[in-house]
Amino acid sequence: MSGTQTVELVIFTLLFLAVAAMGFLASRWRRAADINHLDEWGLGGRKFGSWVTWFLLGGDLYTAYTFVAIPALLFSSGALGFYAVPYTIIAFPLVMLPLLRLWSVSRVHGYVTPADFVRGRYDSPLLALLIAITGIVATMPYIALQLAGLEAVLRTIGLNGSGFWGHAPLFVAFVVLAAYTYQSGLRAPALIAVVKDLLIYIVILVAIIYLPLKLGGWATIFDAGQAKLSQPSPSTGQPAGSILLTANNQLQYATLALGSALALFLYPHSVTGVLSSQSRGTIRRNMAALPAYSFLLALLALLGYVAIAAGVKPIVNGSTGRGDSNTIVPVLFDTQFPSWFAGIAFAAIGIGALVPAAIMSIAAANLWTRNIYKEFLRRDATPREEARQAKLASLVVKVGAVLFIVLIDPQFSVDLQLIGGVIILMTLPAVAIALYTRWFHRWALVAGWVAGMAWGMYLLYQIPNPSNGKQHFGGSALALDKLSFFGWAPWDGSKVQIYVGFVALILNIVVAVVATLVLRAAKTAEGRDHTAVSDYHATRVPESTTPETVSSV
Amino acid sequence: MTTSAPPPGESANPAEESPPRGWTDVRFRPVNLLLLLPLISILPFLFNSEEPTLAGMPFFYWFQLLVIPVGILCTVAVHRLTRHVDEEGEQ
Repeated sequence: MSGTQTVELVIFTLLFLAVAAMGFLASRWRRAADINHLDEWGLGGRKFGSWVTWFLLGGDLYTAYTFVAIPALLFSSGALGFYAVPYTIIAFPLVMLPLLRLWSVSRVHGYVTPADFVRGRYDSPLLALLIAITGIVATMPYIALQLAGLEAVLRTIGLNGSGFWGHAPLFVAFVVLAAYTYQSGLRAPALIAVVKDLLIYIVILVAIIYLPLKLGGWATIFDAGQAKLSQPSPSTGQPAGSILLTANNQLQYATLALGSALALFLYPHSVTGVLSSQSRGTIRRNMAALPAYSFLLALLALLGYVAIAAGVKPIVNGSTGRGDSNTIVPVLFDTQFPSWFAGIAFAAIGIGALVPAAIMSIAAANLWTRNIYKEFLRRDATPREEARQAKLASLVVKVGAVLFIVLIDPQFSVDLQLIGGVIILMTLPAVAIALYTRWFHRWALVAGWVAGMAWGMYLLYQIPNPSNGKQHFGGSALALDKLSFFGWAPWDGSKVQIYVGFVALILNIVVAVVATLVLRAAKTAEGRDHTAVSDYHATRVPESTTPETVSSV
Repeated sequence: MTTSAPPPGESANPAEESPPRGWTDVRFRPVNLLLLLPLISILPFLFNSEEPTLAGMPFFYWFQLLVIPVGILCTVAVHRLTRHVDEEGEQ
């Protein structure tokens, strides 16, 4: 695997350049009168129809990280990794109705971020700040992981240099990305997402038909998977996994899928995708059509077993000197297909990293601009200044993400992503429940957030990972016997595992309910609700209001 | 304001200063319950077995693949049965 694969590199570079050109030209697409308005740069003018929204949300949710990490999870631990499939099956039906309400209220009031909504609903810049910071913190490692996915591809192509300059190809890719995001805003990833999806679909369909035929059928592939996973691991003496769930990880499977589904549309970048669509009908059609990606994801996940059957060995990362299981899918393509096809596959994964990275940095920039800059630093910022500020913030966010990759062990960004899921879930009461009722007291939501966040972090800290010898932050699966409430451990000795985010969310809600009752008894000020009952089903902006006057509520 | 659940205190006294505490214009339709059907895919005790296999694929895997179109059908059904509300605009 040493040296550069020339054909693959050439095809990858050509496709990458073509896409970058599209990114720059995107600013002319459905051009608005004034791109220097946050609604234009950050939400594409709120005009995307069903098809564009489908590609945009798809590009948002099915990322390079998904393409490399989910198969890697099946490769290394078996059936548990398949949780991503039920996760994407249940996510869209569950969130459709709340998202319609969010879209309507945001359209009426000109909200750009979830924190804008919280600000209007609870009349509390502080609660909104908390939600905004949560969103930014949860998004950063997610962007970093897109880079990790891109790097896995670059290293497979042979650009596997060592040390700091081993990351140079990544820098180049990201300067290009940063430049066209700055120039074109959300229009760039929306356009590129179409190309990305076409490439991915072609690659996966070919792989999933051709490889089982070549390797002797699915039965052989699953048998090879079971044989490898049931071998005791040298470090723990336990089998690494199984192609079926065990008695101990079924609850983890269910709660991880449910928790991830609930977290999905709390991420600021998914909200950006939803708010940029032109109508409620667009969202309804998309929630029905998006699970079509689940097929792709399921087939892709199974490539983890295909890689086992094909005898794939992960590449040793030149910068860290350790085996990187994220490289198994790229290596599978590299060894099983002619180099021109592998080149297309790598380009698909690489472009799959650029789309979500662009949307995520735009979403984080929107949060910064609306809920920190405009709220606390420049109250009288004009729409033009807002747009300028957001463009600059998107650059800062991307530089931050690159630093993550360069300065921190990639393994640590995977852990951070895991933590990010737990973190973003803590905004569920203030954002999602608030779409249905304003029963909770605003300070009670802050209290619930603090309690859930603190406990969630504490529980994550306590989880070891025996396979690589880490003591802390070793995963998101918590054995029930670790749960104790002031010394009372109801499940002492149980090895059954549960998703930490789920446990922390329950505490968050319980604390918020109790604190609401207490604060209300003490008659603490509740603030005004700037939203009206009729906003939540609105199909258009009322004639009498212009988005601009409302957005500065 | 159709269901009864944690938030107590119907928004009975609109004259009160504090914001409404009840449900905010929640329009429940029984057909919405179809959206919960895909949750069957997170009940692994129902399908965590190798047999029967389909084209060499254990039941665990092909069952979940099968739930994907079921979920799509449920969502499409709810979409089609309720979309007239959006097309007619706010009532």
